[in-house]
Formats: sequence, structure tokens, C-alpha cells
Amino acid sequence: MESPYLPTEIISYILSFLHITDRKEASLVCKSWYDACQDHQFQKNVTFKFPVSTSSLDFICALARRPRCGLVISHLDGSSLSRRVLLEVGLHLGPRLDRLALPGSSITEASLLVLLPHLTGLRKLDLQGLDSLFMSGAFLSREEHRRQVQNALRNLEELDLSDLRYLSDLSFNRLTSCTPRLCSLSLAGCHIAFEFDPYRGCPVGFGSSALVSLRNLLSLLQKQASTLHSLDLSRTSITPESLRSIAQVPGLRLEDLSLRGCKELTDYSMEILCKHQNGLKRLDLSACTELTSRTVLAVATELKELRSLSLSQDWKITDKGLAELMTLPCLRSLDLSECLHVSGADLAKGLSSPQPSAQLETLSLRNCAYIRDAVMFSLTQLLSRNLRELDLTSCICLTDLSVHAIATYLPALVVLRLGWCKEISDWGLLGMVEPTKDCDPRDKKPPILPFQEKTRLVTEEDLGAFRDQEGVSLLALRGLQELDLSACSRLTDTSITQVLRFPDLQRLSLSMLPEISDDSLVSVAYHCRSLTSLALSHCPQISDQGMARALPLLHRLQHLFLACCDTVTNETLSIIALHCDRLRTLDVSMCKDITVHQVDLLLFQLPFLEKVQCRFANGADFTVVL
Amino acid sequence: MPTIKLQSSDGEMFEVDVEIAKQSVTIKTMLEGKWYTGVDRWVTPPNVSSLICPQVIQWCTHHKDDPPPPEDDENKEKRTDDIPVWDQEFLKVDQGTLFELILAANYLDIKGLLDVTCKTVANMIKGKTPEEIRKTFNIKNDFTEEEEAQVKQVPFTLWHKKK
Repeated sequence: MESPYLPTEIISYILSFLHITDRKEASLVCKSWYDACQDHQFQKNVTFKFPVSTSSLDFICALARRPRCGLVISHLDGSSLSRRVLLEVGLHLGPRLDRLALPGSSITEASLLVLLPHLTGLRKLDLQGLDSLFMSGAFLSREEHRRQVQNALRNLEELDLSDLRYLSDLSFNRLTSCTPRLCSLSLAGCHIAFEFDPYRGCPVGFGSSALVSLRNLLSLLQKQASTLHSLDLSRTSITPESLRSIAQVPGLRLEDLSLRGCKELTDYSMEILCKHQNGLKRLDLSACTELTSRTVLAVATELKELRSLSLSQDWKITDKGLAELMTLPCLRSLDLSECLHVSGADLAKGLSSPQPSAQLETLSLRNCAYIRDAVMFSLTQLLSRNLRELDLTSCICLTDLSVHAIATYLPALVVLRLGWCKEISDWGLLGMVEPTKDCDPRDKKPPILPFQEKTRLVTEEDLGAFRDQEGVSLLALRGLQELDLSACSRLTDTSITQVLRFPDLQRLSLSMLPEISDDSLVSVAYHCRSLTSLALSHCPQISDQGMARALPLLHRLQHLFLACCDTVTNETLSIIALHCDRLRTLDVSMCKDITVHQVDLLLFQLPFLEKVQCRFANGADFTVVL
Repeated sequence: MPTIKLQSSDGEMFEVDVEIAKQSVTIKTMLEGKWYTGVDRWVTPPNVSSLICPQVIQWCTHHKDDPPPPEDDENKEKRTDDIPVWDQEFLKVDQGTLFELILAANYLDIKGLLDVTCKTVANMIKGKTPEEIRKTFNIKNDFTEEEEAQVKQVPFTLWHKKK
């Protein structure tokens, strides 16, 4: 029966429920669907990313008709092609360019100065790693250049100056004088002299031409305190005293602060920071390895508007203070990965308190090896049903019980990582109980909570009752987009073929599963058509036959990892060439029967293939010759 | 209980409770309109046939006690895995009917019905290539070869070609 015609707005509404990868396919169906995809709601914040090449010029011309967008152009250099590309961007996009980044490039000052004055609508400029610009120290040294750039960039909001080895006070001041209303500034990885100038051996004055000094930075922060909300000083080895000065800049109200890898910071300086910058919404303290639970308590006491906190790799953090942290009402994202002493019990305690508590959407407990089933069971019930991302990689004590609990109580999960949880078996994924006792297999209701009326912490007895009932299989997580089951070595075809059926799944890792065979591979390919990344490294039973049946189904595959799969041969490369025309990354390291010659051929055949790992392929000699 | 009559495009009349009919914002607005004074009241939504009308009424009757749907949050990712079981069964119909229900829900402005029907169609699109989508919905490919090449060349996502 001929379906009635649907107007464009309705097609757009239907497409708005799809992930962008599905919308891309839908746009190629027919003209009216293509038009529906051009709807304004889908064209917001689109960024185009490409390395400079001869086809870039046509591409940029074609972009001229689009609404505001962003560009990430890599591999620019001093060649005439690069200069032309920058010129074309200025001419065709000019005021409609919203964001610009030039990673992995080595452009000259002159070519950037040709472009910048056209970009009068630019909101974000990313000059990360562009040492070539700052090496001579003459960038923007001329008055007329500064005037032109200032005219264009006076409304620039975000400036990224990370990883610039040659940034100095002079060049920093010249550039920031053109951008008087910054909201966000990044100096991550830059050399900042926090105490004294190593070349002169005395406290640094203004205007050093060799490096950026703290005094100068403070001066900028003060000047732009009314607009500046976001600051990134990761990997700058900022000293505690310097952090205290920054925290106390008059008028500065930071919302976003990143201090990743600043190993010198102490609890005391964090306490001062929390007291003076209590409007912080996002705080990244990863790899600040001197911090202890004192910092956690300070954060929990002062930062009432905190939404996102990372304490990743801060191994001195213990359970203490985590209960108080859970009472922060706005907290949505918490990263406790590699906080080895955290057992999770206090998280559960905090979440079960009567005060309004955090409604976490993202939680990482990666490498917290002390987390046990009982705690996980409590957490899954206390964590909000809005939890989207859960990382339990290397939580080696977790068993099938935790998997049951996750499948039952966290239905909204989009990302689930259970890599290296070696105790997990097929029973866990299937939501079934290993029949060691007499239990009624027909009773398939979700397990009854031991505490329906009032939440309390789970005890071992409760866990015993849960053990005897059947749970829900992993299939319950219908919205799953990423799943990591690598190294869960007890998993076999039985559960993988039954349970891995997720229409939205994009990234899947089944690496290091010695029991799975081609059956699993084909089943996954058949049921998870949206896969863009698939890892099957170290799976000795995956063979060319499985690849031949699976790859034709995986149209969207961009990343494929087959390292150490000894039964995969050059045959598979031919199949890849035939079916996976969007492939960008391929890893066939240490595959005995794959030759480097075939790999080169593949690089030639596939237009997007960039990264290929084929080290030690073809039985190459492992001995290193020095 | 006050009722209202709905007249389908081919002239049939269907009677339904006013409270149930008010799930349609279009009907609700008409009922609250000042020019509407007739005792024997009826509404004629155009393009809603006598086959679709009772189905819409059935859906609205089942959902009469539902809370009003929340406003769409622009920043929240939309999900399609949350269609209630009753609706899933209700929507096990042929494609033509499904599309007619979408059109009816759109005209009558019944957000709940529009959402579940559109989600159902979205689920039919997920994971498919353009050719598979065309087969599913019996759509003709009206791109010329040139246009198709051009459309693929300027995608709106992150594709790029090497030198």
C-alpha cells in the first residue's frame, strides 16, 4: 500500500529522534529527506574536520552556503596550498565561521594574519601547539596587524593557547589585547614562571620576552575578571601559592577550572580555592597526586553549585569525604578512576542520606579494585535512573550479581565498561542464575528489593536472597551505545549471541575473549548494525570466514582492531577493501598471516584509511636489534 | 458526561467524551473558542479518515489519565527505547496506517501520539543503509547521479578524504 506523503516538518521530527550517524544515512534516501536533514535544528554547531588537501578548496566553496559552522583544519604548513586554503576560508566563510582550530600545523604568521581579520564572527580560536606562530616572538608586533585582528576578534569568547612552548608575556599580551572579552582561556602545558624567571634568577617583572609569568597572568585575569569564567592551567606545575593568588583575584568568578596534572598542589591551597571560588561548576583535579580527602571535604562543603568533578589518579583519596560529596545537589559527573583506596561504601552512604543528593549521570570507578558486589548492589539502586555512563573497568571483584543489578536498576545506561572484570560469566549477561540450587526457572520477574519502603544499605543476607532469584539480562539496556567487555575471559558464544543485540550500539570491545568464535562475531554484526568501532584483538578463534560473513553487514565501521588474531589472513583485508569503505583505523599488529604488502594495498584502496598498525605482522622477528 | 462528535473526512460521525478529546490541543482550543456555542457540537478534522478516527479515539481513551507530556528539552538526547508496551502493540499496523496516524496526530496536535508514532518510524530507520530504508518505506530514489555524488561529497558530519 502506498504510504501517504509526509510533510518535511514531520520527517524532520522523526529524524530528530535519530543519532547523527543514522541521520546521515537518512539524508541520502531521497530529496525530500535530504531537505528535512537541512532543518536548522540539525545544522547547529556542526564542525568540519579535515586535513588540508587539493580537494579542500572545493569543499570550502561548498560550505559557503551553510549557516554558522566550525572548522578544524590539520596539516597546514607554509606551502602555497595551505595559504590558499586559509584565504578561501576567509573569503567564503568569513563572518559565519564560529570556531577555528588548526591542529598539527606549522603555519606562518603571515598566512594567519591574512585570515584573521575576516573572521568577525569568531567565537572560539584554538591555537594549540602552533609553535611556528610564536617562535619568532614577532606575532602581532606591528600596530596595524593588532588593529586589524582586534577589529575582528573583539568578541572572541574562547581562546586556546595550550602547549605553546614559545609563548611569552609579550606575545601573550599582544594577543589578549585583541580579545578583551574572553570567557574561556587555556594555557595548558605552557611554561609559566610561577616564582622566578629561570633566565634571570629573580622575581619576574612584566613583559618578559622569554616566558609567561604569573604576575602577567594575574594582571590579565584581573582585567577580564568580569567575563572570564573558564580557566585551564593543566600540566603547568602551578605552585600552591600561585593558585591561592589566582583564587583571590578580585572580581574573578570562575565556573570552570582545570588543574589536571598539577602535581604540586596541596590540600591547603585547594581549601583556599574552594573558599574564594565557590561558584565553581566544573573542577578537574586529575593527577594532582598530593591531594587527600581534605580536599574532598573542602569541595563538598563549599562548592554547592558543582556539576562535574574529576579526582582521577589522585591515589591518596580514600572513602572519607565521599559521603558528604554525594550531598551536593547539582553534581552530575564524578570521576574517581584509579583512586585505589575507594571502596564505594561511603558513596552509597551519602546517596542514601535523607538530604537532597547528587543525581549522577556519569560515574567512573575504573581501577577501584576494592569495589565489591554488595556496594555495587546498593549503588545501582541509589544512583539515579538517569545514570548514562558507568565505568567499572578493572573492578576485578565484581561478579554476575553486579551485572544483574546494573541491568535491572540502570535502564538508561548509554555507556557501560566492564573490561577486565574477570569474574563475569555468561550467567551475568543472560540475567540467569547458575543452577546450583533448586529455583523455579519460570519465575522471570525482576528481583524483589529487600527494602521497598525505605532504602538502606544492603547486607550480605539481602544479597543471598537476590542470588536465588533471576534477574534481567543485559538486553534491558536498550539505549546502549558503548560496551566494553574486554578480558572478561569467561564469556562465551552463548551469552554474546543472545544478549549483544543493541540497535544503537556504536562502540564495542570484545578483545581478549578466548572463548568466542565466529558465531559471536556474525551475531553481533547482524544485530548491531550501527557499529562504528569494533575491537576483537587477541581473540584466537576469530577467522576469515567470520569476517566474510560479518563485515558486509557493518557498513558504518570506522575502527577495527584485530591485533594478535592469528587466524585472520590477507583474505580479511580483501573483504575489508570490499565492504568497509569508511574505515579509518585498522590494527592488525602481530597477525602472523598478514603481509605488509597487502596492508599497503588496502591503504591505497580505502579513501579514509589513515591509521594502520601492522607492527610485527607477517611473523616478523620479535628480537630487537640494537 | 459531555461528549463531542468527530466527523471524519468521509462523513462518518464518532462520539467521544470531551475530556478524552481535549488531549488534542486543536480540539481543546476550538472548544474554548468564543464562537463555539452550538449545543449539538461536532468537529471535522480534515484528512482524518473513518478508519483512522476510531484508532485515534482508542489511543486517547487508553491514555486519558496520563500526565501532560513534558516540554522537549533541547539539550537532552531523545530516546526511542521508551515506547510503552500497550502502544507498541497498538502500533503493530501496516505502514500506511502508521503514517496516517502520524498525520492525524500532527493535525490534531496530540503530542503523546505523535511522539510514539514517530519513535516507531525512527526505530525502523536505525542501523539501515539508504537503500534498505528505501525498501522499507517504498521510497523512490529521486537523486540524479550527479546530485547523489554531490550530496555525498558535502556531508554534514565529520567525513574527510585524504589527498
